[in-house]
Amino acid sequence: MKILVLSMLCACSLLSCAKFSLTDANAIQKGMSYSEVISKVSKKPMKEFDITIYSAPSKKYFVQVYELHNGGDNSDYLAVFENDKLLYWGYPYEFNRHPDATLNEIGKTAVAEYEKIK
Amino acid sequence: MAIKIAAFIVLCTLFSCKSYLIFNTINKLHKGMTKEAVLKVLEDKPVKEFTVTVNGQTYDVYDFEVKTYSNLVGMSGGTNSFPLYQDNIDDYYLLYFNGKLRYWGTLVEYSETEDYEISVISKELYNKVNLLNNVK
Repeated sequence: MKILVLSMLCACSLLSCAKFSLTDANAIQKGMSYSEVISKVSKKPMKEFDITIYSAPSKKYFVQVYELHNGGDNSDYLAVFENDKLLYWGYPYEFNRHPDATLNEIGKTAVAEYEKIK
Repeated sequence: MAIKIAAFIVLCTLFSCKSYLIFNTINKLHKGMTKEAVLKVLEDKPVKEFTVTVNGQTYDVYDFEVKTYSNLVGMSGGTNSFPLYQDNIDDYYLLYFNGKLRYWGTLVEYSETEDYEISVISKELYNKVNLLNNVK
């Protein structure tokens, strides 16, 4: 019985290593390139895509969508690049409530695009 | 053994009646939403409602509870062992101005925000929450 419990705990520990977590989110920094971010996180994003926003149609933003594991629950988690520099990352609601209206629009557009393609 | 399992299932069912917000629900909130629209998204009612007044402006505050994270605390006993999680629950405050959602978050998130107006409100919110908790 003890062996079974221990093996379950080991399996859980090993599995948790392969999940994107707040530890990964805390390992990345503003201004990092795409390749730097990928090298820092333990799990690849679920989706990657480009978006443009209405208020600045000439600009293109590159979006990564991760699945963040936080104990028993999972949540979508975004990382957004502009010109291969990490601009902002966080839960979609963190984009939505930010004082910067551009980040509000990026978050809303990214989630809408992700809902279309996932 | 069967009685123990049944009792465990009943306990789990009873505890699961207590609802908390989770991040995937909060992700659906946007600035400017009405109270009705927010409640429809959250599918939950606030545990507390109060107001804060800052610089002559009154803000409505709805206090919810959010599950911020879960810790793996061990495994259940028995032959069909499964992981046991302990949830960390925080108060989560939705702030409305003129009936429109202005900001949302835990007290820490209010105090750490880059939004100047909210950082000013956070001090009053902190005082009000402490006052209400002391009255309780």
